[in-house]
Amino acid sequence: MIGGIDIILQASPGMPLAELILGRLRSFWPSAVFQDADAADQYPIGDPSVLIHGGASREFFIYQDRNAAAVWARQGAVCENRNTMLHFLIGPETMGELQEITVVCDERTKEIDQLIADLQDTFHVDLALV
Amino acid sequence: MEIYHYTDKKGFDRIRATVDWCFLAGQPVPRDHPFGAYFTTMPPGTRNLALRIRVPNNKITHLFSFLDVGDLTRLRGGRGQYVFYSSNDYTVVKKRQVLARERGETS
Repeated sequence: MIGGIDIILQASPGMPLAELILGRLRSFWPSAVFQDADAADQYPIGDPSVLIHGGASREFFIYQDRNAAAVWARQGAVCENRNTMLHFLIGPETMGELQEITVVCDERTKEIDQLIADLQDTFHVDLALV
Repeated sequence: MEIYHYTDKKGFDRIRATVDWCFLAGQPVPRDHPFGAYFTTMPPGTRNLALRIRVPNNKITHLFSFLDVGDLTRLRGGRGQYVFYSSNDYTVVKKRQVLARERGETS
């Protein structure tokens, strides 16, 4: 009763993690769609509401495009939509400690691994905290 | 705390066929997660339930719920806030059982 691959990243404290993730995903999937995990509404990743409110989300889905979002809504996780949605969970911030980010995908591909490497670089882990 | 197990009709009928429920451990696909029987604290009305646990919609049509006794392991990572597992088959005796029903029903 669980699917996906959970990739765990770390970030230095105090970083605007959701904003950084959304910024990177805008270039990874230019037609991406954003959805907060607690909401039904979906928005193009470049929509002003995502720019304004997306940074406050602690758990969200990023779909490759509208079609992918529709398939996920209709069927859930099926072979047809493999790796067309990434699920992000941003852990709680604790003073002075590394923050945890979980990325859930369906398969480790070259593209996904490159995205993960880019995100980890973006998070600037302070080695003194490791 | 209440724990939930979601399944399809076939799994539902098998599990509820015995007085004590037995949730069989298995290997999730892809093989990223430990062999086990998986559960969640997310109730049936949770928004985007199938997406959060990343399963097909038709695999969560039925549910069991039971009282937690603190013996399940938290999944590593962010989904560990609501996903737990047992490394072996997991039996829930009658006195811990809360409900077994189709997910679309309201009580």
